[in-house]
Amino acid sequence: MKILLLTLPLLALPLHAADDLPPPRTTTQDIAIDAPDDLPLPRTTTRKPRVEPGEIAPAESATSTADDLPPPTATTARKAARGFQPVLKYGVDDLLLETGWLPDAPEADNYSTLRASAYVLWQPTREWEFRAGARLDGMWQNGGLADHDELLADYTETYARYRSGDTRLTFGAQTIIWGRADEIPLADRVSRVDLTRFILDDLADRRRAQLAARWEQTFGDYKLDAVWLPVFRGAQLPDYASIWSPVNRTTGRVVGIDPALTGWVDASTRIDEDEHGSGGGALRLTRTGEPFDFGLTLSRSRQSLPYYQVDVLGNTLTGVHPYNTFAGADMEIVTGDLTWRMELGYTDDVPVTLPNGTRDKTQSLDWIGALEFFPGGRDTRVNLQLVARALQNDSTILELDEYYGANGEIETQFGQGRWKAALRFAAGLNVNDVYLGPKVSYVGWEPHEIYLAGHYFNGDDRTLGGFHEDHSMIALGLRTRF
Amino acid sequence: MLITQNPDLMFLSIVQRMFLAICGLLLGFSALADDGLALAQKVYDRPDGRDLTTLSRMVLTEKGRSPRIRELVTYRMDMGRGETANLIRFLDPEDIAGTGLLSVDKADGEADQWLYLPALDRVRRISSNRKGGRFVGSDLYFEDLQTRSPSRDRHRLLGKQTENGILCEVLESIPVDSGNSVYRKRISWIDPQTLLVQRVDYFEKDDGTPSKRWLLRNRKKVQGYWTDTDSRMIDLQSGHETRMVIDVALYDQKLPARLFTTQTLADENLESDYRP
Repeated sequence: MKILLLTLPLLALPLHAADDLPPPRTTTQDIAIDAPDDLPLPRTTTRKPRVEPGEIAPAESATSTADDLPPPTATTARKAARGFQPVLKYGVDDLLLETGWLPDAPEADNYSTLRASAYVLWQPTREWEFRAGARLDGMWQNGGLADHDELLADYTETYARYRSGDTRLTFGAQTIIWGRADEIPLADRVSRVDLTRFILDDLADRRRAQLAARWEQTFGDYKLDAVWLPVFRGAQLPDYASIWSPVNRTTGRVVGIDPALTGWVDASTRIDEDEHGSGGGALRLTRTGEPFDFGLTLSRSRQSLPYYQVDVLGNTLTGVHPYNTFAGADMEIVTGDLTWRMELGYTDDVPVTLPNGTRDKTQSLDWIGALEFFPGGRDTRVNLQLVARALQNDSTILELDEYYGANGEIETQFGQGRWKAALRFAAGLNVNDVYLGPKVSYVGWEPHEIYLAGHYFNGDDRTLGGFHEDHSMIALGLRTRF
Repeated sequence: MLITQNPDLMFLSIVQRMFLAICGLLLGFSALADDGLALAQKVYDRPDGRDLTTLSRMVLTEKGRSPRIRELVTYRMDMGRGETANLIRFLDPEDIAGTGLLSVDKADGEADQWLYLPALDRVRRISSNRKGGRFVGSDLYFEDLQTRSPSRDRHRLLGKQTENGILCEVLESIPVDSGNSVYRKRISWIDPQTLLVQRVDYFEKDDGTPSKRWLLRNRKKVQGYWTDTDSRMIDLQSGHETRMVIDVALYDQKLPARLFTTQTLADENLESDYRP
């Protein structure tokens, strides 16, 4: 009897596998199993192929696998790819409507933005592609000492492109953003900065197209990218009455310079831009693949951000864009859950201001280290960056000669991806310089985004956060494309 | 009779019986495990062509809300040496159109991945370890998009059960290394004739209650290969559902290896010859 008691459980064990069978599925377990098959046919936009009526699959080729399943949706009996098809498409690729409240700004209580851009793209053959685009930017600022509105029209990417094998040539207005780091990539030497909204937008929206000739050549895992800027255009600056202007004539301040030395700047100060000539050129070689991706950049170009040359006697500021040489290296590697990005750059002929107000030049060493990860392997992305800049000057200058800081972004989604929350941030490590940009977006009404965002600035006099510390803003916006 | 009267012999008899019982147990488990692994291997090895191109729609459904539809084209190619390359390009809606994901799955289960962001016109290398992240806000995790080698799980046959009107083999799969999966366990219902999976229950938080369920809605034989043309992933807690419909599937189109490079990832026009 004991033997029987001992052996029965053991002999019964192999049968447990059968007992582990889950209970049969019932339709109530699956919320939408009886939902009608109301899936529409694929949209027939110019982006994608159409499902033609004659291509609906013959009934005998489809096999329904259960009685409760609706009939198959449109499937085709096509046996081969379509091959190249000429493309003509157009649309509004960006529409932004935003209104912001400025609680501390002496210049204004409200700042509103309208931004719209449209394009048409034609690709008649496999080799040739033509694109034309235009944008309209409207800004309204009111309720303070510097009421202001402006409307700007500009071109966006407008080019002719030729492809053949591993070669791609592009001539015309283009936006070229090199580098690996977010926010301030060092290798970003041939793009044109858009400062009309300072740093309120992401990097891609803080750049504008400019005329360039570009040759991209791929050799296996390597790519050579050569750019020449035949006509120089400086950064797109807001009107000098705007709160986002780098020169604030209401408070008498110039970004990056101690305000004690710029008290003479007022509404009568003349501000000029020196944009004559070409923009220079640059080469970038990148490699993608094992064990890591890397890039080398060499440029002799003019940066679109202005350096303001001071003429106190003439009550004039002149934005100049001297040539400088940049040599940089960057890399990107994944180790486990972490993506590491790094950029290192050397720049010569960096303009700086001596205490007597005259311009000098020096060299700069810059470094960015970035770390990106998804905590728990889930839906939250964290990107942390450390930045360092050291000017190699021997004499005293009015600008910060060393800057160490941290910046980055934390973003997550919730509500089945219908909501997003993000925080962009930047902070100086050796100076007080703070930016916080929280944002909550509803993206469930695709492709539209409705958001509530905050922008908080604080910092010492010569920092960006300090320059804009009265311009902290709360904004409500709608962004879309169609 | 003698046996029961001799304590030593009686003990020997108990030991022998226990030994036989344990052997039976182990053999039973072993047989079930071997059969389970064999079935998992058969499903893994089911012919699916040298390469595959699909034009698909992903429908995200929530009760009381209008569905959100993503359209995408995917390319897959066996690269040899156990490597598989995948390229995914979104076509719609406009806010994600042009975004691409290139993944090269290695034989050891690791993967190299690059993401293309059209707004920046930039290719970014990303970690493939983000297994529990939702793929474009859907109920599919990144892990669900990867082909999982049978050797990464312990398999056990649980029995037979009818699913989608087919008497299926029911297979339990538990990760050998719990760190390489967001799931504690998966139970799959497999049609033994076609080797098509009809249903999968995913267990994340505990072994008793599935958190997600994948169901095959429709299948079709395309160019001689069985293809899941309509399926859905259900979040059993919230009721969210992601339906995946393949509108066009093309096998063995002789896709070139250069289609699975960052050059093509960054220039969707290079795909134009291979679009369905």
